[in-house]
Amino acid sequence: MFGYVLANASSLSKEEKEVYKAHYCGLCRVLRERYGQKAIMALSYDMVFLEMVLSDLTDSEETRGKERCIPHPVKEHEYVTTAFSQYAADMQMLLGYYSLLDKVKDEGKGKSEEKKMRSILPDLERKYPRISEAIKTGLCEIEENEKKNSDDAEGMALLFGTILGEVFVYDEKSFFRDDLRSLGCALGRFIYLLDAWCDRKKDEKEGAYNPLPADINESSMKEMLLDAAAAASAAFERLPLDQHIFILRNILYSGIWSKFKEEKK
Amino acid sequence: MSDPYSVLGLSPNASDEEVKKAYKTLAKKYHPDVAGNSPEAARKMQEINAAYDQIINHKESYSSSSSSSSYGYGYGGYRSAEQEEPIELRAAVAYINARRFVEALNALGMIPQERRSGRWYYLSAYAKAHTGDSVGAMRDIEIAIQKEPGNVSYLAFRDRLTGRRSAYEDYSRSFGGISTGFFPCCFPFFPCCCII
Repeated sequence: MFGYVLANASSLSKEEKEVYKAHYCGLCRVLRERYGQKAIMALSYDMVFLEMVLSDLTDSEETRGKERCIPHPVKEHEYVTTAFSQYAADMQMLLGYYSLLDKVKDEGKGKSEEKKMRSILPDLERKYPRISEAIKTGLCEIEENEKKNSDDAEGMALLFGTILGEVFVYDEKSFFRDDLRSLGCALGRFIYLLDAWCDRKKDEKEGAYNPLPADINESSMKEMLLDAAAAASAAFERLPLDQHIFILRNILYSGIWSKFKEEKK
Repeated sequence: MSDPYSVLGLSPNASDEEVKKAYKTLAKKYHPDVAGNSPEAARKMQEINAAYDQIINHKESYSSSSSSSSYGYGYGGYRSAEQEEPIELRAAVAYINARRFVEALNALGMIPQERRSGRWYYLSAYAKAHTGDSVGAMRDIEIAIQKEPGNVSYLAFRDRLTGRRSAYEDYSRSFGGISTGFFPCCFPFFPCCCII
């Protein structure tokens, strides 16, 4: 996806960094094992956040190990996988496939990748019918509005948020279903808006679609982002999380702003 | 219901963190995988869930006198009022009581524009706030207040929504604020774990 939901490393302790990194490497490992070496290109911090929220929420058992990998062949590093590493990897592929499909339709790029990825789709759709449906209809609506050149940035962000909200609901029967959906939806809104903000100059140059008004300034952008971030953390704080709470709060209250600030320079 | 803190085995001045820990410990104990599918364990689990809900959601309504307002804020707060609702809003209220906010919004959407009262906008704001749509929630609660300027529930709910914002900003300062610098990455085009 976009990789905006990451930690602010400068305020994590050494131990916290190690835990965070181990979960990242765990997700990477599961992606590789299940979908092949190339799949790690799809790896994003957004899904590491999802994996850590869900494994903390359910006190999932952790499997630990050490390995070397292609991006880091020299130094052996630790990884942690949980039941939700698989889930997060699957979600990454589902989201990745449908956005790739969009790209193929829009720009005619990525046809061969699309063909390769298509083979994994039936399994995923069977396993996650509700979520696949939400992603499909959501992205379809986004695309239609893009064609109409919609200038309703918040409305567009909500469409994307609705998709991510479903992705966060790993189990419809969970007591925390609504808080997870709220968290996912608000985070999705944040991601969509921040992505639009980061791409706006490039989009302008290329004449590509961007939902934000051309004259948007930083402070009104920050207002929109703050609103989404606050809604996400309100839902987040209702969840009974304890193991990774410091890392997750670091992400939600600080890390997610990294790219906004980077853009400012 | 009995005191929610005692259900979780805690004293009433327990912190949120303690509540969360106690909840998880008990939830594990009565989880069907551990306790089997006994009705006793299922009932216990319901009690624990309700206690958790009551404590955590009550805390969130800090800016208001939720217990004395007519509709309350917790999910339970609606329950007593359901029978007094205008008929066409009852379905939506029932969904909200059952915490089915997506369905609540669908039910509300069936009511034509010209029949949408202040109450309608309040319910819609409430459901939107619980699905992550804070922008829509704010828009709707403003309309509700315009339609019924004196309604304390509406005003309190708006305070609660704006309270989230300031709580977020306050808290984010303790993480170095949102203005912390970015960290360089060695592979800008590659998914990379080198930032940590």
